[in-house]
Amino acid sequence: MDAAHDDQLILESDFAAELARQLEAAADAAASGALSTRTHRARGRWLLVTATLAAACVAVVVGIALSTSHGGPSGNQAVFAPSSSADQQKRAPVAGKAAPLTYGDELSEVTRGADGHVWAWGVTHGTDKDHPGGPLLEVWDGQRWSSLAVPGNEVYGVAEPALGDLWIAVTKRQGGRLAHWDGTGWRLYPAMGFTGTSEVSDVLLAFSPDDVWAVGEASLDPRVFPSSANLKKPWLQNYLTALHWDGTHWRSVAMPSLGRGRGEAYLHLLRGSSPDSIWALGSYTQYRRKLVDEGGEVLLHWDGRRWSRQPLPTGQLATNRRDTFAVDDMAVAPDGALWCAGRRWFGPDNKGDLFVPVVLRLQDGRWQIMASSQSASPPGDWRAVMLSSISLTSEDDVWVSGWADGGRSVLWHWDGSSWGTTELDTSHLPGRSAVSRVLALAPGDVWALFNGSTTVKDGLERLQPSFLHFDGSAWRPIMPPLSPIGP
Amino acid sequence: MVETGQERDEDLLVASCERPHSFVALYYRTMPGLLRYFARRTLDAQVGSDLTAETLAEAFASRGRFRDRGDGSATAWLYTIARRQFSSYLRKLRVEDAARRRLGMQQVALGPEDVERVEALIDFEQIGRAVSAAFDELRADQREALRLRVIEGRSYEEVAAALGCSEDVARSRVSRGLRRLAAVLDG
Repeated sequence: MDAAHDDQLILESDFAAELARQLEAAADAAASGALSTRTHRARGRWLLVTATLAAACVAVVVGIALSTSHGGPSGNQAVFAPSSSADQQKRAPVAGKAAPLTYGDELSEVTRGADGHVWAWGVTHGTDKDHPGGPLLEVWDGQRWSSLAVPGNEVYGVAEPALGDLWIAVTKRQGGRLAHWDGTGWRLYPAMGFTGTSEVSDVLLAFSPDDVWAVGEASLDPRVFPSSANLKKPWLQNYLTALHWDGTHWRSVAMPSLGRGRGEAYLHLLRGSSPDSIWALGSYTQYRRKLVDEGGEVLLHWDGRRWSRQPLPTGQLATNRRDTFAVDDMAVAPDGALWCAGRRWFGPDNKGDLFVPVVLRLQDGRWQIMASSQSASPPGDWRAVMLSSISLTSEDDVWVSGWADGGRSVLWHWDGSSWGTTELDTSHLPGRSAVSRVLALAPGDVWALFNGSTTVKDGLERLQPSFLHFDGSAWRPIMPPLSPIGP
Repeated sequence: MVETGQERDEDLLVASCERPHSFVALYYRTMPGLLRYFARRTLDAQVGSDLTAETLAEAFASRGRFRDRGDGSATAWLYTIARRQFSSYLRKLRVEDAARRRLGMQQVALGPEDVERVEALIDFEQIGRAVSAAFDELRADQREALRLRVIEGRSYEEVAAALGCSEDVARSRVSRGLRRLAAVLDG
C-alpha cells in the first residue's frame, strides 16, 4: 500500500476538514482577545485565568469574611491571599462567538484537610476567549464552600497537614510544581510532571507538616532530576517518581524498576493510612514492535523504608488467563488492608459482558473479591455499573460510588457483613447530576460529589458541581459557589 | 515567522505559542500519522479518529509546555500524548473529550466514506496472519462479518446483503469483531 497516497486521502476527508476547522476556531480564540502574546508564551496552557483568578480572589475574601462572621470551626483559619496581581480586574462576562457547548465548574476530586476542612478541585471551563476558565479549588470550612486562587494551571492533588499549611500539586509553565502555602504566601517548588487528565488523580498525601509525599512522572526539569539531562531521548522515557518533603526539602525517593527497554510510566493516585503504609497506583506502557504495546497498571507500596512493587489482582484472581482486573480507586483501612474499586475485564471467549464492576481487598499480599457480579449483593443491576470511587472509615464502613446507564447514581455501603444500596435524592441538585466521588470522614460524616449540567439555552449547558452530605441521619444538598463566568 | 512549508515541526510547535495558527500547519503534517497510529491499535475507525482529535486538542492546549530538544522531539512529544490517550482508552474503553471540550471542539462523526479511508490506514495484510490464528475464537456472526469485510474486502453493502442484515448491523459486527480480535491478540 502507498502510505503517502493514503495520507493524502485522509487529508481530503470530511473528518480532516472538520477537525482542521475546529482547530482553527480554537486558534482564532487563542490568537486574539485576552491573550497578550508575550505572556501567553510564558504562561502556557490555561493561564488565561486572570479573570477567574481575580474573581476567585473576591470569592476567597468574601468566603473568609463570611466564615469569620459566622464563627467558623476555628479561630485561626488560614487566610489564603490571592496570587494574582492587583491590576487584574474582574470582567463582566460577555458572550463570544467561540462559545463552547458546555462551560462552568467541574469538580473531580475531594479530600480531607486539617481541622474539619474538606478540599475539592477541578476545572472551570470557559465560555470564550475572554473567559477561558482555569483551575478550580474549593474548601469547606465547616460552614460553607469557598473558592481559592490557584498558583498554577491545573490541580492534581491537595494536602493540608495542618491549618495554615497547604500543599497543592499544580502544573505551571512547562512542568509540575509543588505549591506550598505557609500561612503568609505561596512558595513554588519545582517537581516532576503530574498526570491525571484522564483518570482519577490525587498525587499528594500528608501525615504531618514534615511528612508529605508526591508522586507523578519523571520531570524533564534538570533542577528536579539532574540525571534526566543525560538520558537519551528522555522525553520518551518516563519513570515512576516519588518525592518526599521532610519539612525543609523535597527529595527524590528511589522507586523500583519496571524493567528495561523504552516505555513510559507514571503514578497518579496516592493513598495511605499511616506513614509506613502508603500505596501508589499508576500505569506503564512498554513500547514493543508487536501489534500492540504492552502495559498495564502498576501498584507500589511504601513500608516505611522503601517502595516495592505489589501483586496486581489479575495475577491472583483471574480464573481465565484472559481475564484482567483494573483498579480505578483505592482506600486504605485502619487495619492496613487496601480496598479497591475497579472492573473485571472478561476475555474474548466470554459471550456476555465486556466487563463488570468489582470491589477488591488486598491484605498480606492476598487479593480477595468483596463484591462482584457473582456475589449475591449488592442488589440491583450490578453489571451495568461503572464504579467511580471508594472511601472508608473502617473495615465495617466502606462506601463505593458509581453510575449506571443513563447517568443514574449508585452508592453502596459495606457494613462489615453485607452490601446495601443507598438511595440518593438528587432532585434538589442542579441539572442532571451523577455521583462522581464519595468521601467518608466518619461514620456519620460522608460527602458525595456530583457534577450536573443545566441547559442554559439551546445548545448551551452550564456545568455545576454540588454535594450531598450525610450527617448520620439524612443526606442534605450543599452547593459550592458558582464561578462568576457565563454568557 | 512566515510559514513556508520548510519549517521543522519543532519550530511550528514553538511558534504556535505566540501564533496559534502555526499549529494548524502542524496539524496537516501530523494528523495522518496519528490517525494511522490509533487506527492500527484500536482497529476502529471512529474510535481512532476520536483519539486523534482528542490528542491534537490536548497538544494544542498544552503546546506551551513543549520544549524543543532537537529534531524529532515534536513527534516524540506528540506521541507521548497519544500513548497516554490510548492507554486511558484501554482502561476505560471510552475516549476522553476533556481537551476538546475546553477548546470548544465537538466530536466529529465519520461518514461511510471516511470510515473506508481510515480503515485503509489499517494495514490489514500485515496483521492478517496473526489475525487468522485468533479468528476461531470469535463469535460466529462476528467472524463471518469479518471474513467478508476484512479478508474478502467487500463493501459494507455487500457484507450486509450476504449476512441478511442492515449495513449498520454489519458495521457493528465488524467493529466488535475487530475489537475482540484486538483483545485476543493482546492476550
